[in-house]
Amino acid sequence: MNENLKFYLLAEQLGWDCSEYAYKRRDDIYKSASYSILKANMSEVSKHISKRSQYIQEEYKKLDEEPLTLKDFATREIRCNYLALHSFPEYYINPLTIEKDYQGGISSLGDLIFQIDSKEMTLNSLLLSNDYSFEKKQQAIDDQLEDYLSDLDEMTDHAIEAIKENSLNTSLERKEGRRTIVSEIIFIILNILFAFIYIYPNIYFRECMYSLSSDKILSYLSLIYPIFMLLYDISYILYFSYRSRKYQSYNYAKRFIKKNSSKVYQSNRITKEALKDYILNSIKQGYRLQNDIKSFSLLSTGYIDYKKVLDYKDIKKSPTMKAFRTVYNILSAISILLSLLTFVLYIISIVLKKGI
Amino acid sequence: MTLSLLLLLAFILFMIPVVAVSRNRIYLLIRSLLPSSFLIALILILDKIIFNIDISKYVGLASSSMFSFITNSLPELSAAESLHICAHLTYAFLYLTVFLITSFITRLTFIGTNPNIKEKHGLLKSISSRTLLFLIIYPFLFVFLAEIRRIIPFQDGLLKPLFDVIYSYGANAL
Repeated sequence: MNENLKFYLLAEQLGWDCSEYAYKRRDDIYKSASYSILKANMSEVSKHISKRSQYIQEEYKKLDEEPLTLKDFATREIRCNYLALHSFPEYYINPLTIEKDYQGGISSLGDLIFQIDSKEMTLNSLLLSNDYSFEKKQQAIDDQLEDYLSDLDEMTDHAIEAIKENSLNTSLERKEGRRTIVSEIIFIILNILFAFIYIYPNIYFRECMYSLSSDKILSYLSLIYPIFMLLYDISYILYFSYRSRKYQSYNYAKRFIKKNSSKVYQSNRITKEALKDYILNSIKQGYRLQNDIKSFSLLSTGYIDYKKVLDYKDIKKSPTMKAFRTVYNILSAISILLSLLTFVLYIISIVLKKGI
Repeated sequence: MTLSLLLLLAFILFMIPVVAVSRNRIYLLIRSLLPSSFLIALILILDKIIFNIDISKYVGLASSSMFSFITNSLPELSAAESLHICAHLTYAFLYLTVFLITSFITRLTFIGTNPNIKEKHGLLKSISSRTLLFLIIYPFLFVFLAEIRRIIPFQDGLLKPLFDVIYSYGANAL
């Protein structure tokens, strides 16, 4: 903060209207080094699921709010400096929610920043420091791990909420559920009908099938109908197989949570305790932590695959899913029409006792 | 089109879910299909291999009125053949009914295994469960079609010797 700004700030505190000065300097923040650092780090910050990274993202957006007073301006500058400093992964990464394919600069739990007596230091420095007693270190570690755990529990709440929102209670999901059941029923009916048409010994239909005749619709249908049925069956199986693969984490979480949601929170706490034991053990043994940043992550290895559960709606909108669904819908419409047409002509041929 | 070609197409069709479906869906399908496959396999084994007590004849007699609309349309079928076909259509009906009931119950109670946790011997388990799924679907379709091929409007094709082992009558409908 330069002397000029300090002067105007004091003047504002004494009752002078300095809003014009604040307005003039509103864009200064974008030219500052701290803002450049913050901006550069934001893409990495947004990739991580943790309360701290979320906080940085929210506060970063607030920096665009125009300062009305010099106090706002000064606060914004301080906030920008604070955010720039805390926009590095060691500050915001939560080892319980880190992605399994994380390839960033942090490789060890020991690189994470922990707080002790309002001082910030890396966990490895804290572990090896002789300035604090074991109990004090233990307390500081436990406090930080509780923060991580509450972060994870909050994510669990969100995931359970998302599952409940998407569950059969909502009209959208009811519609989706109904559509799946109807698809299954149609699949069974069409295949039974197909089997019936070929198994039931309708002599007139079989004549049209064996001796293909250009003036008989049943002759054409006996050729086209099985081809489209085969294509329809393939598209049905492919679509639902792909869907089951894409939704398997979501579906598992949905089924699991229905009966065992408390187990998820229990598992979160067990993992936190395991992490604590691991860190405390390193204090007792006196070694530095190395290459273990992903060892305690529950992001996609716990009962809930948070990423997939929270991205459930995106899977639905994925281009591959849409393509499968479109092909399946087209083929099912054609197959339904062909089945009905064949069946009606099939019955008529029995009634009229001749091939049509 | 021959029955052998139809079974080949069915083979390809059944291989798609066996390979592509998720692990939990495989387990769900196995649980839903096992009771029906076990029941039909037991009947067929008792009927043909162990006691040779000709269960099919009694099942055919009991269900002949249900499927007479099919067998009566083929006058060239002998009474024994009619009973045989009725019996196998009943087995197919039984297989589907038991499957649908079990499937409904299984869906209500099934949770499955966590897809996020890699199981020990996961690949081995995956291969064996997928093979089991295939074995409890495809052979039943194969035997069913071979048994009722008398009323199917297709020639036997390449697999005729195998069909004859399963059911010795020739396929000469029409």
